[in-house]
Amino acid sequence: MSATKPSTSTSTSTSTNASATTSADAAVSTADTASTGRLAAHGLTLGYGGTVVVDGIDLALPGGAVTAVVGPNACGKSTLLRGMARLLSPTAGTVTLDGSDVHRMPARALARRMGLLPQQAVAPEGITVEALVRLGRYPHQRMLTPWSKADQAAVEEALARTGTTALRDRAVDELSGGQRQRAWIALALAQDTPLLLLDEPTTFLDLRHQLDVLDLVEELNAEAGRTVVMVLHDLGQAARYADHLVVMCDGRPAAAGPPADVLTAELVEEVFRVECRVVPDPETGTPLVVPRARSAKRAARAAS
Amino acid sequence: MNETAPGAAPAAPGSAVPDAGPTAGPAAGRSVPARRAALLLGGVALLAVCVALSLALGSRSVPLETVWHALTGGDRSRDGLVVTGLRVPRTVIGLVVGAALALAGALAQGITRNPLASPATLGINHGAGFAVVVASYALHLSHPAQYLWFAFAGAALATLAVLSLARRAGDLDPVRLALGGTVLDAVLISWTSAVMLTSHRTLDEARFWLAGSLAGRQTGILLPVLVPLLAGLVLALAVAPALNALALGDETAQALGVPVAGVRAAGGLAVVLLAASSVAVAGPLSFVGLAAPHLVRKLVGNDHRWVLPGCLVAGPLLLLTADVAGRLVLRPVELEVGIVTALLGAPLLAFLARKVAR
Amino acid sequence: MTPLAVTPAPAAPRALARQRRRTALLSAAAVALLVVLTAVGLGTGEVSVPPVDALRGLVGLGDPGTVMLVQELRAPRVLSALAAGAGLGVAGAVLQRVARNPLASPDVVGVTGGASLGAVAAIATGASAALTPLAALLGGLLAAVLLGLLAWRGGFTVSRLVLVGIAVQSGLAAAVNLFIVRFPRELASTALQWTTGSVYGRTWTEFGAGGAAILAGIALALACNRRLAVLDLGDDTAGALGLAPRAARLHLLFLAVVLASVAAALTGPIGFVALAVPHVVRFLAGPPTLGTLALSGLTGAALLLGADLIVLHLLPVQGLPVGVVTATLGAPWLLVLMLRQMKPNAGSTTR
Repeated sequence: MSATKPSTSTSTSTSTNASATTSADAAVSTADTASTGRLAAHGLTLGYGGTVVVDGIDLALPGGAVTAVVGPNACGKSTLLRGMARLLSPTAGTVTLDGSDVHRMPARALARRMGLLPQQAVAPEGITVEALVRLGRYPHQRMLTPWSKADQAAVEEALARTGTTALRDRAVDELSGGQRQRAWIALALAQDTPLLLLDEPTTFLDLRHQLDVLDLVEELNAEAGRTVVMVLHDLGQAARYADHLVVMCDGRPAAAGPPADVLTAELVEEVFRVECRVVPDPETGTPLVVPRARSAKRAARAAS
Repeated sequence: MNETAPGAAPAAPGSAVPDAGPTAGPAAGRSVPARRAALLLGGVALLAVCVALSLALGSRSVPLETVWHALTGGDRSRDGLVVTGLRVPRTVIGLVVGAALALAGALAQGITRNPLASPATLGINHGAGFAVVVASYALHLSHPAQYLWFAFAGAALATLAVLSLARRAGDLDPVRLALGGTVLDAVLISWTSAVMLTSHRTLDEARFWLAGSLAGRQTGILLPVLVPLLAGLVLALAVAPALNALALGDETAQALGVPVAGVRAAGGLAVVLLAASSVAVAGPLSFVGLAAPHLVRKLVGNDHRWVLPGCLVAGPLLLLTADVAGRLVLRPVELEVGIVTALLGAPLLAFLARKVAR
Repeated sequence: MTPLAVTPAPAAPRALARQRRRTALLSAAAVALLVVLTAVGLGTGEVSVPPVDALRGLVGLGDPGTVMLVQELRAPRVLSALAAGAGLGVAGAVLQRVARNPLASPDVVGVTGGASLGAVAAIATGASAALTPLAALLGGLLAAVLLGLLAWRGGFTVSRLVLVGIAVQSGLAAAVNLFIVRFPRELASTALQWTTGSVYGRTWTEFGAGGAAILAGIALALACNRRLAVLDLGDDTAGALGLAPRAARLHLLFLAVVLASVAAALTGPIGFVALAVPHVVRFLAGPPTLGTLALSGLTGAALLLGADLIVLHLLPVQGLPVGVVTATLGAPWLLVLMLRQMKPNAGSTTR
């Protein structure tokens, strides 16, 4: 598949949403068509105990697009994601999803509109991939409703999209890291939400599996019209795969916008305290951060 | 103890700190070894007070003067006989058993790296209990001295069983240890009840032993277990430095050149020897083995070279205090020290669990 | 990777379907075993009745003498064993899953100790024997409240609940021991008998109330199975799926505690059923599902009733409490199963 991504699609793109809707999609997504998954924070302050981690920020993320949140360690990027996913109550401010306050929605109603891949997910011992993915249907079920055709269709679709159909009978704890990550993404997909939050989906994966996961994200956005917000570590990958980039620093967004506009040498130096050059990615033309050689020896070797 | 001793005097060598006695030493410079030595001395002094109280107090209280005369051989009155005949053995047994249990507890916590471990969690108490009940049922034994070897064997076998269940690839697995201990305990408890329900005579005789007590025993009961106790003590002191490395994790300890499996085995053996001896002498006692190491660690820090000697003081201190308390709360009825320690131990365990588990 | 070009699902029966079938087969076997055990339990005793007649007698058919014997004398004991066993099995399964700890069971978290203490206290005050189960129920629930208070620190964590539970249990056991040491010989024997667990001498009144409560509890537990499964995924994922993890866990723990307390009120605190049954079921039927939860109930019932029959008819000594047999039978099983499960890299996996 092509890795090129038009970095101009930050405008709302309900059109992609409609065009990419497959028949299985139509069968399972019913009332959620109006929702495009526009997340926004208004004066949001988040923290643990007494310490403030995210400090009174305003932020609007585009719907129908892929947003990447980057930043140095302990800048509050994961905390921001957890706050927006309602895993953390704000000490001040609100989070809205398509205009309505996330923290006032019934839990299940929210879970039908927003899915999350947490950073540290632990699979119960011995559970099969299919059993895991089926649990993604929880918000769509009532206490005694039986398993429906729509539920099964959503599960099949999630398995197919993540390429885990052939793994459905395998125990999750027997899978490789990349396969396991895809199974967990399938669980979030079966939840069938217009918005998907991914907390460091590529951590602990080798390069190939990182790219697999990011390609999958791109596909979900392009073909199924899902809004994706993810926390990433690698600036080059973020620039390649995201339409919208949020750079966090000390609990506040230092910059936000299309990667080509945002990712400059000055910004990286300011935020990451790393001297660097930003060059066009030879593959995609997106900005690529190249740190400057720090030691004389390495610089000399490069010069010779 | 004397944490707020006079003045923050600078540590000029030889500078006089006039009003500071030997136990207030840390004031000068607060060097860690000096502070620990002072704490140790303070503990010994407190223990001496406890011994005096244990000799004097009870259903029939005796003035300290009389105690002194009785000990120096001058008093053959009834009070004097109570002291020499009943309270001296009881106190001596309390000193030895308390020290052994505390040491065993510190070792168990050290080798398993589990702050909630204690001799009781290794199946020691219930192993001994079952053996004693069987002995009482089958052989019609009825006196603590007669139970001695059965209790020792039961305790040692149960502990060895738990430790061998927990062995994996030559090392101890903490989860297996907890699991094995819990399961074995439950089985032994139910078998003990079964035997006691089958024979009312056994129930009547063994239930007092099962409560755990220092009373009704002569000092001579210690003689047979002297060798295992001393062997356990030597082993314990020998592995103490290695336990410090073990606290950093098995892999780090290995990297530091500590033979992890060997240290665990030696420590485990010492626990068996010490705890089985004490349960054989006094019956099942909890609390001391759990509490003493925590108390000592709070005072002298985590260095096992200090924790283990500290336990030799703190263990008897706790056990004698509990024993004296048991004599006083329901006077003239005496409460078995095993029940006192168990009732004291539960809140402590709850407190520790609250702290340990986030 | 080409995620869209995937081979279709294999033709062989899928793992979930296979497990469902296996669970159904095991459940059918357990039900059959229960019927046989019930028939034997109702039919044997000082006067023997053929198993089929005994079952007919239970529903009021056949010889009036047999009906009387079966319904009035034997049925309460047999049905109490069934109900308590099922309750303990389900309580154990729920508790172990919610606590994420293979050792969590009513015996460990203090419910058993509370029930014992309640009963022993009732025996000590010389109250009529009919009050003992009520006191046991109260004791079990009070122990759970005590555990909740002690473990509360602006919220609960599972490991704290379990560890504090162990402490609560040991304190309550010490208090029970105090009673037993201080009692006169006869009372001590009664108390010991009761605290080891026994179904001897149950009546219809006791069974009626306890059995109904246990049945309701099991039904509720089965209805909550999806919550259990979602909780298994961890707090973050559960939250993302729209389940408030803390509240859900608290509700489920409370349900398990009530089930175990009612069972303890019916038969005394019988050890090992709640601890061992979930492991046995997992070994036989695989990872937990709705079916295995039901199977836990059936297995618990079969285990307790079978153990009671062993006590009644196979042991040379009369009057032993059934708890002795469940512990003796359960322990080796449990040890073998769990030691086998704990392979070096087994256990929960982190991505």
